[in-house]
Amino acid sequence: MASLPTDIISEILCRLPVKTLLRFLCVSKSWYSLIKTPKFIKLHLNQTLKSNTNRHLLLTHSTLSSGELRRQFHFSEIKGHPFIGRFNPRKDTCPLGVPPDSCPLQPAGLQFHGSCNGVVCISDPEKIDVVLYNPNTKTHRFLPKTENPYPDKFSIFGFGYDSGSDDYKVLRMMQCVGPNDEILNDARVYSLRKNSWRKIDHMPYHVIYDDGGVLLDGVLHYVASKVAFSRKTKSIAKFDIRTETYSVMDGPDYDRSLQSWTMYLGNVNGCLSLSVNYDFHGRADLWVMKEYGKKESWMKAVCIGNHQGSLIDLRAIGCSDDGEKILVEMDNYELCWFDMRRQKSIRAGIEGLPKYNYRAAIYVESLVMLDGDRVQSQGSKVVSKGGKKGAIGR
Amino acid sequence: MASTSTSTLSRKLILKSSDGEKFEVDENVAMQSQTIKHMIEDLDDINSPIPVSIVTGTILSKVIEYCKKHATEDSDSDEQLKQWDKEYANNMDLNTLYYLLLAANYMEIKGLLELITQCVADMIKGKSPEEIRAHFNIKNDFTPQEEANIRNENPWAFEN
Repeated sequence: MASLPTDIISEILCRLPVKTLLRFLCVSKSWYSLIKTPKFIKLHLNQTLKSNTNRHLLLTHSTLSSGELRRQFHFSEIKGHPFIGRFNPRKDTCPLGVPPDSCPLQPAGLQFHGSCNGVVCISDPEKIDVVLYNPNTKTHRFLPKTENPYPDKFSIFGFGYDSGSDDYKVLRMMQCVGPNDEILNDARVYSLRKNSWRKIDHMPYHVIYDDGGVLLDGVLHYVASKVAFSRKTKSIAKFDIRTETYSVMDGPDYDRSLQSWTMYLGNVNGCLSLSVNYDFHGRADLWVMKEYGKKESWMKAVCIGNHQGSLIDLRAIGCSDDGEKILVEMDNYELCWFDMRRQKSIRAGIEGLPKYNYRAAIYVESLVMLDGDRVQSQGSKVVSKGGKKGAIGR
Repeated sequence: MASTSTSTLSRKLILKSSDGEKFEVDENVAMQSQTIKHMIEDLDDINSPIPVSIVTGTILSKVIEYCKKHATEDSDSDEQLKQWDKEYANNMDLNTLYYLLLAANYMEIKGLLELITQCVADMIKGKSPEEIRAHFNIKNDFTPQEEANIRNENPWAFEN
């Protein structure tokens, strides 16, 4: 094949996985420059999101070895069908190499706060040192420290992309009870573009389960209560990353007759899901909101009863390409595909996974770059020289 | 302008390839090309041949085959059309794909461009840089040291 114009080469390359592209960096100088341009990085990411490809399973887990608790990141590709055959962790997973050499975080006890467009948000267990990291490009941004008005208090994080200003943002909320039983609130937003934190209005709802906030179309979702520290009236609180405003919406009409439930939100193929775990009744229901914002569109997709053992902890991770099976995490140690039509679950059959204490999430890979001091503005017409650091892609 | 008594669907256009071959096609077939659509808007006489200057007759006939199929999409389900696209692309050799890419790009036929770029992407996925250079006729302009440095940036990308 003779040489092709650059825009056609771009159209071909944007349909390839990150691993192939990193390999193609050394094809020639012009390919190197092309793959590293912010314009191409954006094109590639948009194509990935549009075609729903380049998805991986991100596992954060603790393994007890010689008395030391370690958390590592691994990822393996998620296919549209149940995993078949033996899963070789050495071959099929790639340690994310957290922390990067220049990052002051220790691998022991990393906290995961979410991922978006190939970038993960992680911190130390105390949530003081926070890092944005793209394991594919091995680039990271260490967030500047921000004032902590209530030291030693519980903080809730959220991470996502603001398409309006082409920016990545981290939300940090503090919600706690003060020494005189008063409610203490604080909320701040970090902007990657500005590389700074800014205080914003606090959320007028109270987060019940800190799950990092489930991201869906630029909005973070939390199970929350309108009444402070009440676990009875649960709603879904939202934070719009673009407008930096809060709102609330109703969840499904779940069975409230059974006590002692925990709830987890999830993103199932672009639909918000809510798993309701009746902890001591061996029962769990997974609801999916078919049409965003429509209360009547909540549908019970998965119903698990008579679970062996008294405790149940069901979370939705993702969905198969045909939309018929939901990947769920059970009790923190088992991944299953749940066939919605047959109401049956099949073990995902991933061998070599840690036995306990891991959390799984869907991770979409990208070439987004995070290092460097400057974050350049990347309009669609920008054609940079390439190979420069400090650009964010989309 | 052409006679107003004939409906848009039955109007015929003549496309002329770079090597002078002429093709008579229904207007709705040709209109899938944004380039031709714009050309028709500026055209006074619709009966004169429309030059498709960089596309040869051989390639243009393939392009028209694609456009014809996609102009009558009512008759096929999405699934059938996808299957047809797949067979259409799989029957091309690399050289034809290359000229089809150029033609789809020049004629601005989005669907065809997407189909062929995806086909080429599937062909080169996971290939080595050496194979890619041979494939696209690209000269390696890195020094051995430069290439080694780039490989060392992401050694995992070179594992199979």
